[in-house]
Amino acid sequence: MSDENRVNEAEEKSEQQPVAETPTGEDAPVLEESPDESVAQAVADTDGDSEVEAVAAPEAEAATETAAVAETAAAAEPAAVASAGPDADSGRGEQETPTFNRVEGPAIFNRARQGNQRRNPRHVGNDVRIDEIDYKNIQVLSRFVDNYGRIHNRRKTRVTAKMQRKVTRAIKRARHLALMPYTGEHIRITGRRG
Amino acid sequence: MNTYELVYIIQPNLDDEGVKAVDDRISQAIGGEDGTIESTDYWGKRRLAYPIKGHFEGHYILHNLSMPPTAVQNVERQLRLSEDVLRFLVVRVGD
Repeated sequence: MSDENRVNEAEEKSEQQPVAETPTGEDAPVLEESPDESVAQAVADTDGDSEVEAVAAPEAEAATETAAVAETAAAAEPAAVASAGPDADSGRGEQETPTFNRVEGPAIFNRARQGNQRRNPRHVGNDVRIDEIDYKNIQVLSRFVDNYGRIHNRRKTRVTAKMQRKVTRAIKRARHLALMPYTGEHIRITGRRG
Repeated sequence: MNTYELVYIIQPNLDDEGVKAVDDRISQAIGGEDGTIESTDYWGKRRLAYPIKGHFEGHYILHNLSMPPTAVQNVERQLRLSEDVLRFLVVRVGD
């Protein structure tokens, strides 16, 4: 059942993604409508919990985010700041330490989920473990995709060739199942990226 | 016997029973091919990232299967024949 958990997790995470642009709550009602199966119920429940967090989190995050940016204004160019948005979202509600002592070494020990230091937006995938790459894990996969739904190249993602192949394949599978968009037009129609 | 993951999307206009009926039909097809369903996960009615056959939503169902390789073809055929199934994906897991 770890699979199921992972899916649920992906669900709630993916809800956090669009936080930057629109208030959340787009997906949650849909899920609650769903039939009374225990699984569906569980999903709705966890969502209900995370919703509160999700609403609370972005402001705090955004605040520290800008603080961090201000501190190192010299390093941060506008483009980098803009693309930091979706990355920063994945960090959950923990308070962010705007220090820049993050380790570039083994990505396993540098999980954004726990530590939530600001990631270098140019290195999209440097903290993703290979076993997290799954076509169902939209939360992770959507980091490897730009605003038009196009897959980032390796120069951008900074992952190994092996990983990039896995990511690419996973994204293509996710697209097939309409979990991710194929084109910018799809995003325009449905108004979301994940 | 290999292990597979099967995800498919059922059109959104069906109610619980309709979904169940479709699922039963698919399950039977799997059972008829000496396959067994290890676990089932219903993701609920999700929004699609893009419309499929005019639908913006769909019921997602995930099955973890174990079945002989020769069965895949027939199960896929069954999925294709069912008009309520908008999309499906069968992947082998464990490698």
